[in-house]
Amino acid sequence: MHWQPRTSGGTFHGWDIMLRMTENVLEVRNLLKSYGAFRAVDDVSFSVPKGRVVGFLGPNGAGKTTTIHILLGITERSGGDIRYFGDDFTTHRLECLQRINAASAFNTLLGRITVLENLLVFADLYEVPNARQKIAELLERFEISHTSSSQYWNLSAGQRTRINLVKSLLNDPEILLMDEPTASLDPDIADKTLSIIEEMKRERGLSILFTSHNMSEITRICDEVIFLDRGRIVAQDTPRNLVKRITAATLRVAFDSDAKESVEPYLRGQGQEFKFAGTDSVEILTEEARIPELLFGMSHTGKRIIDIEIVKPTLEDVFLQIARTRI
Amino acid sequence: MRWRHIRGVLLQEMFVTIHSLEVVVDVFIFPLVNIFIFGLISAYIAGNDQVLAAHYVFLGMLLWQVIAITAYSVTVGSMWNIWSRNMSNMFIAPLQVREYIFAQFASGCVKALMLLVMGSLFSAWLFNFNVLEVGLLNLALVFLVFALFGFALALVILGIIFRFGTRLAALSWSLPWLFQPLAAAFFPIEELPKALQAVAYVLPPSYAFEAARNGLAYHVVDWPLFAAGVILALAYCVASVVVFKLFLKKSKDIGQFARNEA
Repeated sequence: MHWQPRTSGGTFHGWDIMLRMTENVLEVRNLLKSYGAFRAVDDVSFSVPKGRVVGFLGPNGAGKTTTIHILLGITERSGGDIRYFGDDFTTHRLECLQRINAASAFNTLLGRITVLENLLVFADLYEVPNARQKIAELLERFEISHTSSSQYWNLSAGQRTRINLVKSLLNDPEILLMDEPTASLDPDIADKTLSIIEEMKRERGLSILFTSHNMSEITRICDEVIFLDRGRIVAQDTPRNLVKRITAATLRVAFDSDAKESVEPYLRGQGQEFKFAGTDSVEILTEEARIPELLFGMSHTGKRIIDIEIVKPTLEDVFLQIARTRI
Repeated sequence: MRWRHIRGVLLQEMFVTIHSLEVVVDVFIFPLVNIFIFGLISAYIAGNDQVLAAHYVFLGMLLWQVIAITAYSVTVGSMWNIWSRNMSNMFIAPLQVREYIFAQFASGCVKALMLLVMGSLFSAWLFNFNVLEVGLLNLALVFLVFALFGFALALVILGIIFRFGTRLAALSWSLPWLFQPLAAAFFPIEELPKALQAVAYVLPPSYAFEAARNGLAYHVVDWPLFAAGVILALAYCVASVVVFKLFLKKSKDIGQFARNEA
């Protein structure tokens, strides 16, 4: 164990011991980044346990990428503590960097040189043993062995993304920081990429900090989601629990004949927000819990219901609600 | 410093040089064209009974390449990483800045040495000018001073680019040339206007150029001049490391380092 309890002056105290017991790969406490009076990251605290995927969500300018940059050491923080594997990132920077890696849609490799040459350079930087064999295995796994001798700039966006992922896995990292890794990929390649990430998590207990604007990706791979807005954490929970925070749902009901005259007064009486599409179908915005009651009530207006569709809230609705108001 | 990290950066430099026509042109072709032009000018001057002056001009141009190529290699080598948005990838690896800079410097020295050898063979073949007349020890000392000065210049330029952004990238290939007349590359320092002589005396290459000319004219090693040149060059290196570290820190503080690749 590298961790040593602080006796005074720090923000890591007794609860640190508890964090250690849950095997947190990354611990961030009271992270702060100021540019003059503007706070890009404002008192952000979270942790990434071993083998878990934590998602960062938030509108543009929320502080996601700045946080990732700080966690990678390419932007200096104004305050707060960062610990990887229990070690302080400031004092054990090189040891930490040896055990982590990152992939971002915003960074690429050198375009002029070949894929293999790029990867050999990083294999040296990470001191990877049997570098050529390791590179060949990873290229094979990502189904891009044929790109090995191609210049990086001649590859498609999907191939580049997978090469970036190969680079990010060269050192068998224990935690991967991924900043919108699937941005600009077509759905098929994005799906394959996510599948590989899921496999890595399952097989190796890889921890991941993942940012994306794609809600379905976040819902699919993240165990926990952190919503950032204007540099602050505004919500933090599992995707399922976050979605539960929005209780509204949309109920679409179709009738076998004109129903407007009889159903409309009923819905008005219930104080519901609704909209008829023609005269034989209606869309009702309601609380999820009231749906059975409303269906029962409408079925007693003398009209026969022939189709029911319930549209439940998604993470995207949570995102929109946060972006527009704040939870 | 770890050897594999340094080897990684050296490998990258080699791969970029092999694959980039621009680098080959900038590092080898363009300097050889320069040497050729100055060879013609020198031949013309020599034809007017100014043989020594002609040799000074030619020698100045030949040796100047060491400064230009060392500085170019360190700065533009890094610019390739920034232009490709790969610099962050390099520094989120456990690569120390000092390892990266050392490797870039070593790469610059190798390129400068290769060019010096090629330029020397070229001038012997085309202009019957034997650079070894300066003396091997003189050449080695000149190379040392020039490589250190080129490195110091490059480090300051790189710091400026990290701190203020790639809009100042043009400094990489333009700033070193500002020092060519000030360092009295082609003529004795006394030929400079008085005010500029004071500037020349604080520039390490001035001493090495002067010593090289003495070597050519009198076949001596001018130790006092070389000592002054080496000491000054080392002082420049120390100062440039301080400036670079300050700029790099500021660049990371204000987020410019990451923004350079945005």
